[in-house]
Amino acid sequence: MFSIICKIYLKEHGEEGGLLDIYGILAHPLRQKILEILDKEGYVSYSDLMDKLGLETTGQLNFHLKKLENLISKDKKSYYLTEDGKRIIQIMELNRRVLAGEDLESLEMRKSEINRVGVIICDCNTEISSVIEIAALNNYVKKIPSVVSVKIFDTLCQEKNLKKIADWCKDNFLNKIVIAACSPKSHRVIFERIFEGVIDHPNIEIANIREQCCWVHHAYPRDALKKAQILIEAAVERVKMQKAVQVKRVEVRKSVAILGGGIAGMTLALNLARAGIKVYLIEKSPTLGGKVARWSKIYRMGDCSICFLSELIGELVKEENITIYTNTEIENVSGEVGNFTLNLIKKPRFVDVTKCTGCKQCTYLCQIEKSNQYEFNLTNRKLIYIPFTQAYPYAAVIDEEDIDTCRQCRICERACSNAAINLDQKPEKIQIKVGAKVLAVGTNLFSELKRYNYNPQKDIIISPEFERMLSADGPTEGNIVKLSNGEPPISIGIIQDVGASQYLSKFGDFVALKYLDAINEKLPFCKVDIFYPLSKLKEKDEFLLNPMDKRVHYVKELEIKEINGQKFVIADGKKYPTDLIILNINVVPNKDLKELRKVLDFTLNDIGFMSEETLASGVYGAGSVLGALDYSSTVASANNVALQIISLLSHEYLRAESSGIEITHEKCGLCGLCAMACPYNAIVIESDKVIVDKFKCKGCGTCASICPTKAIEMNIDSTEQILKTIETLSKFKPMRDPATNAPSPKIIAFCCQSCGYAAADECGLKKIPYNPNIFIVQVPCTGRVDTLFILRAFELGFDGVMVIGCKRESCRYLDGVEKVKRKISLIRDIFGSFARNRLKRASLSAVEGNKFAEIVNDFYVELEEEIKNEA
Amino acid sequence: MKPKFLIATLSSCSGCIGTILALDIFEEFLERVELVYFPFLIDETEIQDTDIALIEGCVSEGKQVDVLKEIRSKSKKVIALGTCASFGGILSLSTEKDASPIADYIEIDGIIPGCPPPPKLLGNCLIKLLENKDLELPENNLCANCPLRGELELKFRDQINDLFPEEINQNDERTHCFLRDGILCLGPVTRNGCECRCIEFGMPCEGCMGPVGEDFTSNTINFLSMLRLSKELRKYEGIFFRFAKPKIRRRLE
Repeated sequence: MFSIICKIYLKEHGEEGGLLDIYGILAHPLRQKILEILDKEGYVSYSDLMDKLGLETTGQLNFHLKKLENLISKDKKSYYLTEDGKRIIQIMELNRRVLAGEDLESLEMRKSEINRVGVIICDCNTEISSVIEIAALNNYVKKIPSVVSVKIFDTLCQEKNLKKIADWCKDNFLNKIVIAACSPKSHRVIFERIFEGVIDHPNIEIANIREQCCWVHHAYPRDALKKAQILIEAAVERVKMQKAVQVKRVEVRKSVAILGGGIAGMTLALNLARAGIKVYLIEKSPTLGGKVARWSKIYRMGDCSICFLSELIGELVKEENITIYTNTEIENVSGEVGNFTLNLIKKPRFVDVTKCTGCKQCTYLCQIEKSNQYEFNLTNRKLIYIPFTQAYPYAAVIDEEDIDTCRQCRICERACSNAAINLDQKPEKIQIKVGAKVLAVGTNLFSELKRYNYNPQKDIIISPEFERMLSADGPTEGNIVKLSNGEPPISIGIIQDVGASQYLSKFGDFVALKYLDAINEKLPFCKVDIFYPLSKLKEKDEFLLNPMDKRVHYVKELEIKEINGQKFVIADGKKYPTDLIILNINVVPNKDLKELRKVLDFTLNDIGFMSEETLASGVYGAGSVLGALDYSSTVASANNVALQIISLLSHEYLRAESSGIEITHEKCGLCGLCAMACPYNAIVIESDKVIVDKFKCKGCGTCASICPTKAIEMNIDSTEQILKTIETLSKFKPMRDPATNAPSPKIIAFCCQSCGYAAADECGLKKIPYNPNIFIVQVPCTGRVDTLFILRAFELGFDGVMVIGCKRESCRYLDGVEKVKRKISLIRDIFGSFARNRLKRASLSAVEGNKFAEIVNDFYVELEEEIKNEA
Repeated sequence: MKPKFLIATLSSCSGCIGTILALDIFEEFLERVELVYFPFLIDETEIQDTDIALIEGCVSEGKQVDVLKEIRSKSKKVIALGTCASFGGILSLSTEKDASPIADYIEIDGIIPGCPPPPKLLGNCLIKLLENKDLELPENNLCANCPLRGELELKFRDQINDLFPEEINQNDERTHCFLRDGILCLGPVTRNGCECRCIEFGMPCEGCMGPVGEDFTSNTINFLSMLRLSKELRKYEGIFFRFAKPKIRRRLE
């Protein structure tokens, strides 16, 4: 024992300090008692000390106080313990335990089997103590079984003396930690870093007493205290049940897959390649360039867009670090951030790019024409074609949909002098391994144009067609003409923001300004009118078209009419004769996103673009997948993503998230429900065994919620742990309203970590109050919610149950919200009106804190009514 | 010394007792134990001190609770015999009578599920008990031993419309899962150990062996939420509460 004490003491003081005669100091029981009193009371005045020790003469006390001079100190009024003194107290406690028969060495050995929980209460710079009394919290927490020691910090996240914390863990043989502080969403990583190498991450549990207690229940301090106590107790119970979890270490691949060879993808590829990162640029169409390649000019960039685009392509091709796959689509992805495996399918081009010289002989020979999608169907092309003059790779191509027609003819195949054409080319499978994946697939164009009388042959065209008209390599060689007769128009009408108003952006305004410039340059005498529907203006946050400009008309009603062969734009009753009408269409989210989302693991925002807050790691969005961006914003977003990726891939290793699932094969009957439930197809049954592809598994826990025998379980947030949490929280007894003495309903809300829980945190950050009887249980995904959780909550006395998840398209785990919806609808069918009134489901986004408060408070009021009626 | 056995009956059809009496090892069982209370066979009317108490039937009346408590206080081990005692049993379908598992009122040391318990499982359990060993039940679900599982075809048919096949015929050569024909089978949520007697006979599983995990109804809802159940079946209580009713539901009635 002596040796332990010496060791601990010397550690603190080095050799010199170790010479302090602590045994001599502690030899007298009175001195031990003084230390104990100071430890308990904190600050004690001289006279109080006399009283407490029952001493009559000052001399005796003075003598002992002098002996203790290194361990205690005195301010004006009272004595208190120095850091050394506090340490001695710990040693005495240790000593007491050894004397009481605790076998410290075996404690160290059995650490993994026993629970010695340490609780840290962080005052968050008085944010907590301004609402609840920390001492009362401390007293309660101390008494929770298995809690060995409680420590209070002012601001744990700012704590510099990490060694002190590590020593506290070691001295108390702690193997599990509960931190009662702020939200795990914001601070978990910081806390994990504090305990790095001391306590394993899964053994750290956080009780969110700031965002989800003190900040939202400041009006009810007594309930807030009780709630904080219960929240900590639930966290202690959870961490006690936590089993050891293996941590994966992932070697980081210094390579990136970029989907989409438009301006965003190419800019990003070049940035990354020059930083020494291997880039795979994957383009679905047969050529790089994207939409910008078809535009005439970039607004205020002078140069024609294809000119600098071809320069960019030239740079790309020179870069050794870039591999370009055109005509290629992504089939599936497995792995995790740092190490993804992508399976690609390179669709047949039917022309060998290495042999084709681009002589175009085949295109002259081909007899069958179809409309040219690269000219927005304004002109026709042959079945075998080269997309456009600056296409890369510059080689002929046949669309897959036409190949059956071509195989009946085969003239081009026979005629090609380089033998480059092979109409029987097969798709090719490619597998690449990358550290990060980027989505840069751009947008689609709004296409429901019926009500605008869209008809290019009658000179009502859309903006991309006008772009082609302006382009020197376009169908009119850069001349603005009426397609109906080939003559230049005398008046042009531009109708702004054609399409659904949720996609409005300032992008359309830039386009109009660009057209004004271009028309002015090419047809200086042509009259131009720009019509902007006022109804849309209300929803637009920014507009760039100057209302003072005579050419710009903000109008309430807009109609396109043809009277006696003359087209009119009728705006607010006034007729504007126009020869050429340009529908300036909005861009809409790429229709491929919904499918890609299942493969690439990202979320969509409310209007269908890729969400910038995509929560999965290792997947990024660049360019207009994020919204309708103009050229410079697109390039900026690509540069931004490049920086993020470079910093991510600068690590040699990443620690993989340890949350995942484990299987007990004895319990498994191979019913296959888990495989059906998995949104990522990560579960397969092979040779009579359920196998989980740990690389595909994202830890949503849907399988664990479905498995009837719990053969498949989560290693964090296990069913057991969640049930115990529900049980612990059910012990909360709310204050009754003294006026009515009516029982107040208790609500439990299962919130998914990405959205529901985050919204609750957001509510806390905004300090929007809600009733303290509302308890939040975090689940990885709402798909994790087992019917058992809901029924058990009701059994244990909760009056209402809520399940709060992501919005449908932004569900972090693809369709967890849909799965829980089906469970709840079945529960409602079976349990009838009870479940209909007391079980609620809601979808929130992470920023809707106010809405969170609104829905839980509304539910509370509904339940109050319900309980009253029942009584 | 022979271990003392007590076999008592609460609200039940006595099917479990009948199964015990018909066991092929019953004679051997009688030789190896001392029956202290078993109204079906012996005249003793008072509950006696015993090593092992087997209780059949669910609790549906208040006075049964007193009997239960007396048995508990006089027994070293109490085992729930059959689905009624273990989970509530078929009486759960009643809206008037309560059907509580005995574990709601007393602590129990094990269950022997089944309606009635499959003879093989019951025989093994009795032998384990008289040798003073712990009961061991299979921990997986019925699919593990299902004769229809065949090629591990996981794709169930989405739409489930029927509770039974149109014709039930033991000699019918059924080759694939009921669920693939749109017939509801609760095998996935039911404990293994019955040797799939119903399925062998051409009937889908109704779940009499009860759950492996905590709550049969929850498991059934979880399972069926993955399929598309026809409108009538969604409200058919016989699926969800045939052998057990969750406490919350009992409270509601």
